[in-house]
Amino acid sequence: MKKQLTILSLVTLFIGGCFGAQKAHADFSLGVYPPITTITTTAPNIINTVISFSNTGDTPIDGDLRIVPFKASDDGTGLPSYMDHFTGPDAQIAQKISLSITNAPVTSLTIPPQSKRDVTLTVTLPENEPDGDYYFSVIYTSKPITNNQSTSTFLNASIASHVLLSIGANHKPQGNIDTFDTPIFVTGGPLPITVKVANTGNAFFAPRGAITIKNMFGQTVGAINLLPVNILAQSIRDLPSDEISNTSEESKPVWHEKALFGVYQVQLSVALSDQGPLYTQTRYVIAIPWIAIGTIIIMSLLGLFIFLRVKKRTS
Amino acid sequence: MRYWKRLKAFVKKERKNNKCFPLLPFFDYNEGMYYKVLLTLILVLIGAYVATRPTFALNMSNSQWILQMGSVNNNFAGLKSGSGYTLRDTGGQVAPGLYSGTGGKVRAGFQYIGSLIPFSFKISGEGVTSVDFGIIDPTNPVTRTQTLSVTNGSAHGFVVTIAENHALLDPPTGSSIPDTTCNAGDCTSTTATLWDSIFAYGFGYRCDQVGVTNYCPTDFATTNFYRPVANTSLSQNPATVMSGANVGRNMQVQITYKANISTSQGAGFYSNVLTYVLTPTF
Repeated sequence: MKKQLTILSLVTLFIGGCFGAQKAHADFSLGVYPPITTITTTAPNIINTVISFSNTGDTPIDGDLRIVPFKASDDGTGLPSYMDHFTGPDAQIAQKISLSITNAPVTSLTIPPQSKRDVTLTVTLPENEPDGDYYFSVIYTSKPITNNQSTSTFLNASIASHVLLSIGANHKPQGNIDTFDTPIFVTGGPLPITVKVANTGNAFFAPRGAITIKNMFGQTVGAINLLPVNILAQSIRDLPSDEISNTSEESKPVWHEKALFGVYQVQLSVALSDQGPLYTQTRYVIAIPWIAIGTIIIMSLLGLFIFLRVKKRTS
Repeated sequence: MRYWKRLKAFVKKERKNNKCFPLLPFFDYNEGMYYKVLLTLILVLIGAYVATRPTFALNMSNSQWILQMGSVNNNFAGLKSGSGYTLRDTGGQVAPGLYSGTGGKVRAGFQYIGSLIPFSFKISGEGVTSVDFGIIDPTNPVTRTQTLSVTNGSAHGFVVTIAENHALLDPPTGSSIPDTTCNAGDCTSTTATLWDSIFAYGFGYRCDQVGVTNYCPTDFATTNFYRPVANTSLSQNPATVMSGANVGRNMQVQITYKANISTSQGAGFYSNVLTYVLTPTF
């Protein structure tokens, strides 16, 4: 009995040591869901949607909420370029957008540890609201805790949730394929492809696209699906492929086939919406593996030379 | 039924021949025991199947309680009118996806990512939100490291930018530790260059890869390459310190802060505030 108690005590101490001796990490962790909300509506209307801010760290986070308008950045990567004020047909649109918690307006928010807070975004559109698109982010910024006790740098963090608001009954997308580039001559794969779509209208849309590749015999030998990313009004955006990128950069469409020979037809099809319009463009790529062909020719000539010399000697 | 009879006959025959029972060699050769075990296995399989079926429940929680229910229906949609106007309400969602009401559609999240995982950012490491350099001796650089983690389960692409409100400043005296210009005086808030000289002073940072994928900007590829932090008091734009193109959990980089002072730097407690901004692509 005594021996069993001793063993049990040792086991308990061991297990307690394993789990109890872990160092407590006071991490700072801030999250938001959803990262984007798209609203397509006519006026008049009242739109309510929820954005959740979460704190999975060990300490409460105290911060401010604000609405910041943006436009598409010029690099076509889908990142916002923030502005000081809204642009568009309604100069008073900012007054029609509000944040609240249980119907009470909110400009600051405290999130306890291991919890989340839901903020309601309300867009109130009167009957005479003009058609137009407005893009903004709901940004939550934590407040740093500072002191002057030592030489330190204090950190705070902001996290953004985008909102794309499109007002109007006629949402037919207007745009075109701005860029569709492939190399003309290649010695082999992989084959990089650049696709950019321009939105020439006044409402954002999310086009669907695909690239098919056929060889000189008309057989389909490759296919690439493009992501239906949002393209803001009056902007141009790269369409990435749906592949998982192995780098930190966006997945540009790439046909990964390495052994290429002959003429290939690369066809891009882009539908700006489920109801069209549909655009198609075709490019041709000529693949001549010079190095491989040259090597084969040289080896063949060498072999022929050796064969003839041997034949001559034996004869 | 016929199969069951055949199974029973097979079991009897095997027991008569004293052969090792094919399914349960370690059990005593008890026919009744065999059927009980077989029945138990079948029930366990059925239970496992039922247990793994998805349930459609809504969970809401805060620090005091967790509420689980089947679904929540928004009940404030509808047509309302007053003198001179008509209003239609559309609202509420409990999961990612498209919600339609009279006159409007609201889509939460990306249509091609059906995940509920929040888009989140974590800082861990030395000091977390308060990075203490301690006592800095002249020409004796001090470094501190932290790990930035991004969980991007609901957006296809993100960027993290960094900026400071001003250089490290001692408010009582007004003196500051300037932002570094690196060894050759040529690094900027967007371009890192070599900073390993003890006679090159200032405050800066660098980013290092953690794991398989490198989320740091390419100018940090070389060891000991640093940047000064973008200074908003000088109207500098925040600089990208981390970016990614895919969904993923716990995508990490290591940030190293470095401070070095000259012998003429006055004594004091210098501080500033760095702001990280996590932005998804749209």
